[in-house]
Amino acid sequence: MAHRVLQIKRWLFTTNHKDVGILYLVTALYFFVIAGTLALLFRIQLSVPENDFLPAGKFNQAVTNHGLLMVFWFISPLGFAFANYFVPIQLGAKDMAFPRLNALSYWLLLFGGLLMLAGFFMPGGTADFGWTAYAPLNTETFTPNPGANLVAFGLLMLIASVTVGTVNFLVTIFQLRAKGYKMLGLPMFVWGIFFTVLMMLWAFPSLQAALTLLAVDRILGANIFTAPKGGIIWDHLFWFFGHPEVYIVLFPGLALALDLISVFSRRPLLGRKVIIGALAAAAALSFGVYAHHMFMTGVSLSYLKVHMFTTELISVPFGIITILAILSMIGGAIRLSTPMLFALGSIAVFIIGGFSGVFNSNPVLDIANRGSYWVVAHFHYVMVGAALFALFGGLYYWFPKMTGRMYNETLGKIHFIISFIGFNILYFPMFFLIDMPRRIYTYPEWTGWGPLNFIATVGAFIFGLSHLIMFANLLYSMKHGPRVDRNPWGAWSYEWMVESPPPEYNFEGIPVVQGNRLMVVMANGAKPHVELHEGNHLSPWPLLISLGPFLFLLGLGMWLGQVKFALPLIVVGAIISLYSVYGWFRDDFYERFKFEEPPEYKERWPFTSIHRVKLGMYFFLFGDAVFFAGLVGAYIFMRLEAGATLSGLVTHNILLGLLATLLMLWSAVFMYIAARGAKLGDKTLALAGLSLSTVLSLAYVVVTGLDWASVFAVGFTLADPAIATSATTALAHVLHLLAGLLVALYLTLKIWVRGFTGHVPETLDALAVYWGFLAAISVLVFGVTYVF
Amino acid sequence: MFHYPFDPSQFSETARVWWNLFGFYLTVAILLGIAVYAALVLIPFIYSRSRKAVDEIKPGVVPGERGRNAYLAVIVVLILASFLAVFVESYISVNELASLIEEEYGVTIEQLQAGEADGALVVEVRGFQWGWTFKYPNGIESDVLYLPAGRPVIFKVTSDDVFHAFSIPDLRVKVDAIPGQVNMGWTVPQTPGTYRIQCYELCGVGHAEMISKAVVLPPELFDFWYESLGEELVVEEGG
Repeated sequence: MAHRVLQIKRWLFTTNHKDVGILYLVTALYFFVIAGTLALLFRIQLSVPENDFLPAGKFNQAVTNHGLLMVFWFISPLGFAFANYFVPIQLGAKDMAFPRLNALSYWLLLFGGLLMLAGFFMPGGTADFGWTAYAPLNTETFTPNPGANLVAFGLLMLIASVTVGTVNFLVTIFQLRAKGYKMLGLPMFVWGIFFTVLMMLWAFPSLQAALTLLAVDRILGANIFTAPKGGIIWDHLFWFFGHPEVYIVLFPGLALALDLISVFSRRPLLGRKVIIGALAAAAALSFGVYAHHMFMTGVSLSYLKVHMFTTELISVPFGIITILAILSMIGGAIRLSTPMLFALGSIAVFIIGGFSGVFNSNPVLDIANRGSYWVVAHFHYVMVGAALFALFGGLYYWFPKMTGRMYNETLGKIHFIISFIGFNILYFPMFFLIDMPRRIYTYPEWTGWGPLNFIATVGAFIFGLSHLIMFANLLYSMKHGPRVDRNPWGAWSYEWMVESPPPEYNFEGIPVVQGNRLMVVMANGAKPHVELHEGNHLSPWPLLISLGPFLFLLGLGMWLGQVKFALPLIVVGAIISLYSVYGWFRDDFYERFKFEEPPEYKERWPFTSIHRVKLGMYFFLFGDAVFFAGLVGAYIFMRLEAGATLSGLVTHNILLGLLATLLMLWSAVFMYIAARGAKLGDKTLALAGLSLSTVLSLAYVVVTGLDWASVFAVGFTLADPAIATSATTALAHVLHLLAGLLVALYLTLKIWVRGFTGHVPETLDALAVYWGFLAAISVLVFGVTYVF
Repeated sequence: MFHYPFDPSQFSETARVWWNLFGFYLTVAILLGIAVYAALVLIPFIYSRSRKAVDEIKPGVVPGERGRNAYLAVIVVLILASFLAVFVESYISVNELASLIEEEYGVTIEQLQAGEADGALVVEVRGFQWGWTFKYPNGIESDVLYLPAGRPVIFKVTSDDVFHAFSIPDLRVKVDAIPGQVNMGWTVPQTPGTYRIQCYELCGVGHAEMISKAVVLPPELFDFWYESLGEELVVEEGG
């Protein structure tokens, strides 16, 4: 494998989960360096009072992009770098359930991040409204910077990446475990990733809804967030996403720390099941605590009390996890190697982060905490401290597995000590700055905040520069470190039973679990299965299908900012997008890309009889429902709270709406009939169902379009927030439908020409589920935005 | 000037409630923290040197379930109990904050939320990019906030443009200023003096400069200022 390291084609076209993991790792560390540099810049600005190193605008841009890049493009992707590389191996799988979608996740993430960075080079600069992007500050009226559009686009690409990745991980964990591998026996890291993706599935669509509304505001000149109280809807949508996001960032690291503690203290975790239950409880609770970010916004007192209760309650599962992790070590032959030190460091700072978080749960204490450096200290202790230390511990832990060579232990320990001390010098003083507001670019000398800020800046440089030790250590050891055997740590899970680095398909045989023993058995079926995939593990389409929208959105952002050469970019981007979609479908049409492990070798409980495509569709729709709930919720909020008095009964033609809904329902019925036909092998029935369904849903699009045209013809505009939110919902629904029609068209052609080969019946089955979902949404949209 | 641990309790009633509760949380956190950190440091220290330590992780073997149920239950119950203690205390404090103004100053929650109460001074606070305007019932508009000591003050806070957060940190007053909406906040200033007013929500490039001052005056002095200036304004408006 080593001779292939520098092959460009391998890295661009790969769909192998380990290569994708490496790409994630390098990308995450790249964004870490950029976001860290931004942090050092504004720490210099804040080191002394009345400094003029960075002016206010630049400072706000630095702060905003530091937050966004660190959260979305560094810590989360770092966790998912390891998840990509190791979760399939730990499960005993040869790759992810959908390898091409896995590569797609990566490229969407990378190009989303590059879109973010491109914002810096726009005239007028990039987003400067903080990572929470509170409305209406984020609207065109108050932030005309064209770079802010690119930031919104970048985030939307990230959400696409996350959605695809989420579905992929869920299906992989549910259906690709080695035969006999019980869910409860999985390493804690897999459990951490499992709960992380579950939270992602529900949280990110809420942000997607908020950003979609924002894009409508910024690009189409609507008036959603600038309406009276419009900002509150952003608050709700953002924090419904934003609070679970904290745990999304934390969970991979926290779970990894538990694994490291178990391995390096040579003791099984105390109360494994209790810990897993606590993780589940925290993940479930995370959606019911977000209003503690809104204690001062004037939401009702009883609502606040509920969220005070849940927010304090969520400290219970984390307390249980922490205490059990610490007590697990009793009696073990503890080895304080670098990964273990990082895991213990992570727990140590997590305790402070957790305790300070309990303070934030109380509306009375929030009078002082809200918007102050106390909060900054708190979430850096959780997100940077707990997550980053544990993940860097993971980097040291898995480095010998990924490279086959050992890093320098002494340098690793030095890195830990310096970064741990630097971290605390950086963030601990911020607890004492409880009355200093966040995100101010400077402060008068009489406030007395100077000395503590200076200490923090010194800590920032110690912490930031300490990571150079790690980079140097790992880069040098990658080539020159001593070679190690398969299992230098004496760890138990599957990745340590294969070579370092693991072969392309991870296992030379079939992984099987018997009782509590992990095994790889040689069977006749194994070898040809491996050979089958040589040569078609590469696909250019994940890269191109992300590059197209990247160029298109970059061009669109430049066009909005009136920058030259925007139109060519838009055109080229559109062409690449269309061509790559065509290419992906063509590959599927001729079944050039195949990757599937025989299901009989796999443990698939509890989804034993559902095909992976349909299962993936179910998971996707679970998330998508939140997206539509966000949009429809925004409409309801506008009608009830923000004084949008015009009901849909006045603005719309009810009969046209009813007709459209009926068309959509019948379209779903025929899609279901087509799926039944495919299952029975009846080509005529399937084709008839598909084409009728296609025609009916096209009619739905036309009728809906006519209805909206009549609404706008009467003189209603997007300036009315109720019109704007309901139009966005309808638009989102139609776009969903058009995307589905593309797949329907592909399936029609394939059944027509080639019959029921490959995964056609399963894909059609999944499509019928999708159509049913869209029909349900159209009923919801009709019921709410027409009748209400 | 070192602000922390900073006891603002003599400045206002809200600050007193805040300080009592903060002290309680801090005490609990420090007590539990000492125990947890002691375990976190001592256990690795002892068992990385222990000769009797066991090695129960075997390559390729899923680690077994460990820990007696009773033992685990005790841990869970202890953590739940400390949660309940903290929750009950904080619940009491939230209600205390509400009942305080009612019992001592005769202002009910309903009056507070309606923003009209006898005996309380109602100030309309308007945030804008980038500054504050304070409007008194008699029509005075000022960009410096004058307050009487020992009398409840209700702030009706709103914003002209984007989100701001109106705060007088030393008096422990903080209310979000949201366009299209009026949020209520209150306090009872106790100690005459000059306090910092600042915006606590990022509101654009001028966020850091959105500083103003609150001057708490002895009641007589405040009345003098209020009545003399107020008359002038009324005359102006009448003419």
